Amino acid sequence: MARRVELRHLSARYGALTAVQDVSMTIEPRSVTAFIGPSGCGKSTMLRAMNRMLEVIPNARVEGRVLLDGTNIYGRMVDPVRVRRTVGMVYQQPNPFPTMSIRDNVLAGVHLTNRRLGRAEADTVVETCLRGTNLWEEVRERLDEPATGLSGGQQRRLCIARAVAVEPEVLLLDEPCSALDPISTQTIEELIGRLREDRTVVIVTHNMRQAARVSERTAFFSTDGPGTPGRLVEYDDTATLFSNPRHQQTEDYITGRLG
Amino acid sequence: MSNATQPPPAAPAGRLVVPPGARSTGDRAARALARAGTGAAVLIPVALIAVLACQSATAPGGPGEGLGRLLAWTLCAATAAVAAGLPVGVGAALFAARFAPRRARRALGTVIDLLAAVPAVAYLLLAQGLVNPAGGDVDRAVLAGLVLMAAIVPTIASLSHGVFAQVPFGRMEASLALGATRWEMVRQVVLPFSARTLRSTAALALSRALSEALTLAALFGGVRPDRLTWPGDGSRSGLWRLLLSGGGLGPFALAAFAVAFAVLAVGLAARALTARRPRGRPRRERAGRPDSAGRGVGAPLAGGRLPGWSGAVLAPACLLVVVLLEALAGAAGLTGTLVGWAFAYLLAHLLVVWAVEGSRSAADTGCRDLCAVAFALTVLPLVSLLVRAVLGAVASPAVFSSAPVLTAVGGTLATIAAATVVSVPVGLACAVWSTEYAGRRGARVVASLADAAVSVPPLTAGLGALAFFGLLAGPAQVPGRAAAGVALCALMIPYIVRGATQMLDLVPPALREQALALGAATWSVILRVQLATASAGLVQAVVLALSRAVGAASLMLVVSGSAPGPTPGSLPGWIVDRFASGADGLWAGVAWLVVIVVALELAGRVIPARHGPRNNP
Ligand SMILES: Nc1ncnc2c1ncn2[C@@H]1O[C@H](COP(=O)(O)OP(=O)(O)OP(=O)(O)O)[C@@H](O)[C@H]1O
Ligand SMILES: [Mg+2]
Repeated sequence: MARRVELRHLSARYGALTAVQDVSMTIEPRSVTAFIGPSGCGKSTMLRAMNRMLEVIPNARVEGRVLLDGTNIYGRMVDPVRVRRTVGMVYQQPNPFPTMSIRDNVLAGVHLTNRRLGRAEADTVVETCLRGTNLWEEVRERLDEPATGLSGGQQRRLCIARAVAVEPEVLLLDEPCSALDPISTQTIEELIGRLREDRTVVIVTHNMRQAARVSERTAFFSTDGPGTPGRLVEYDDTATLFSNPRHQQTEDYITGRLG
Repeated sequence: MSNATQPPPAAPAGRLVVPPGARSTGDRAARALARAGTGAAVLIPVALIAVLACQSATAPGGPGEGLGRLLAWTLCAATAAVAAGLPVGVGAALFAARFAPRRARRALGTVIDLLAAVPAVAYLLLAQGLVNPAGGDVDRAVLAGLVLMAAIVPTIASLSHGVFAQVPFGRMEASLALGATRWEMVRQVVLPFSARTLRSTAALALSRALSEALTLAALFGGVRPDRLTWPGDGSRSGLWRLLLSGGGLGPFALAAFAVAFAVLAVGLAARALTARRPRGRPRRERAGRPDSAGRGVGAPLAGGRLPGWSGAVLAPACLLVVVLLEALAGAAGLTGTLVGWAFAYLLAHLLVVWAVEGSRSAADTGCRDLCAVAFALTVLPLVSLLVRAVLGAVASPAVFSSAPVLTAVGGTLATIAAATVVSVPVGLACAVWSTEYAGRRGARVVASLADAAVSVPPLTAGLGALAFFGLLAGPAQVPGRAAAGVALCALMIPYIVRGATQMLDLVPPALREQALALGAATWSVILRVQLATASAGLVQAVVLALSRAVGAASLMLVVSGSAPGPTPGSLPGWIVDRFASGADGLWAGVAWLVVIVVALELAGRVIPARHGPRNNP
């Protein structure tokens, strides 16, 4: 239940602004891939393009293809709802549904499939997902309270739990640990490690050591200057990229001389 | 101790505790202005209603038997109109805000706002012609309800569109990213977000319907004259006599007052109830069938989806079936064929989607189609109004620019301008007071009052203004235009307060905190941070208030035009006059009205766009 994701000449535009230009890469199933790069180079845009969430934004356009096990997700006969179900995503900003309780937030995606789910089964899903994100102990007493009462970091972990609950085959995580303490970060990294066994995981991070810890392969995105579109500079095994980068730009970035 | 003659301390940190009397002049002035504005904002509508109440209580003839009947008829008609109009209006708004193709949404939103700005009198005339072509009375309340529906659906659509457009993008995105269809996203995020506003929209629609029901009764003699003590022949003088029968206010005014009172009471009670709504109970788990479109391990992404050309096949096929059926039944008629075609197509589309794509897709498609139909129904009156106005103007171009029409245009514009000059500062000051000075309790009170005042029937404001000037100048010398201006103020101020408060609340608290942390005085924070940041939104709120008030104020403008004062002249008055007398120039008047409203609406879109930063996409 993991899928190979191939990007073929993928470009993304917001109105007149080209955010990312001509990206081609292959992401293997059952692996963790890290996207790194300076702010504004189009990492989040890439993730959005990979599960057809870009077309929700007014004025945004995608060119090129994204193949999921060989099927182009932008093909005419493809249902975007199924794509998003298969390719889950956690956003850079935590966005729990404020009208729902914590428990309903975790189950929000599960409810949509209309799967037969008894009370006990739902409880299991909630507990597993919340434990997986190190949130269970903190919220077990107040599962029926509104999710807006949680702290920023708790909301972020709730959103990860919500995305994991629908068991997507590909999971895109946009800076999942950027507001978390070391302990929660470690839990999330363990979760990623478990997901790797039968999913495809892509993680955007600004933490180079995290990228080195969790990912097999790393993609470095960058722009050639302000106002120019982002592009894929280098994509390689994580170990190689960090120890022996082929491009000067990459080396500058990872050694802290840029961005 | 400090006093005014002491020089200000050189170091800002020199004196931390400042007695209230020694606050800076700017701060005191700002606070005083805000307070005065709030006072005026509360006082004007309250005063009008109070005057109307006094006059009603002391009306010479007493209530009489007509009043009960008029009230019952009004209530029935208005309830029928809201019951039928609410789904249509909300559906239309949903379509424009969420279901329509992304590129079309902006334009559709503008169309919906335009709809609401066209004075209801125009819709009433149109619907009356459609539903009741013989021109007989609209004694049957349900029939009247249908006519009223045309007048209130635009308001409902515009208000609900406003709140649908405000749903935070991130939440909708989150829902879609979890694999929700568009309809599921609407149910999961959009409707819960908008529930409270939709409830108050329903209340507002009811009050508009009540008010327009009285308009309808006045225009078309909804309650037969022979059963009442006042004449209702629909002409200008008849209308006037009806409003002020025998020197005092007639049963009509009594009814308007009763309605206003009921609406206020219901509105405040509803707010009090919804404010203390208990948290939603944990929801029952649904035990549904596993869906065919659900996620299975390794489920294919493609397939199970209707190809793009399916519509091009379905539509002609349905037309064929409908035409064949009609030929078999021996019935014919363009309208029937079109309606039958639409129904057949929607049904067939739904069934095919269900068969091929499964139930989730079918629910999505069905809801989108229903909303599209609602949108079409909502826009229909505007389109036919435009067509008629253009045709009428083309048929007799001379009338379009003849002196009496231009006088009426000038009168309407002058009334609107005068009302704007008064109500904008008052409304803004009240909004500033409520966000800056009032504290949480005060802000809640202001918000409740503004909500309740927005839903006071416009007719009540108009009659109140008339009664007020009647008291001052005697019923025969009421200056129609001044009365209309005051009533328009009473209608606009609550809208401005509501809109401006919302806009000021949207200013990120961090901005203000930062300004305060830099040591800025309160008044300069209000002026340079709060008002400046929200400026684009404020302009929009004002224009929206203006166009909503003009749309709601139709009867009141009629009143100003039919008052026996010196200068008659308002477009709605002109329209009703032409309608009653059957003379040329009815549609020239409508065309002018639409032109004014469109200009207002465009101003509301263009000015904010080049006036400051818009933060939400
Ligand atoms: N909704 C939008 N409308 C217009 N432009 C956008 C939008 N979202 C992003 N952009 C632009 O696209 C470019 C790429 O943005 P993106 O969010 O993908 O960057 P990022 O690499 O994720 O940055 P960060 O590390 O700060 O999250 C930026 O120049 C940004 O200004
Ligand atoms: Mg980003």
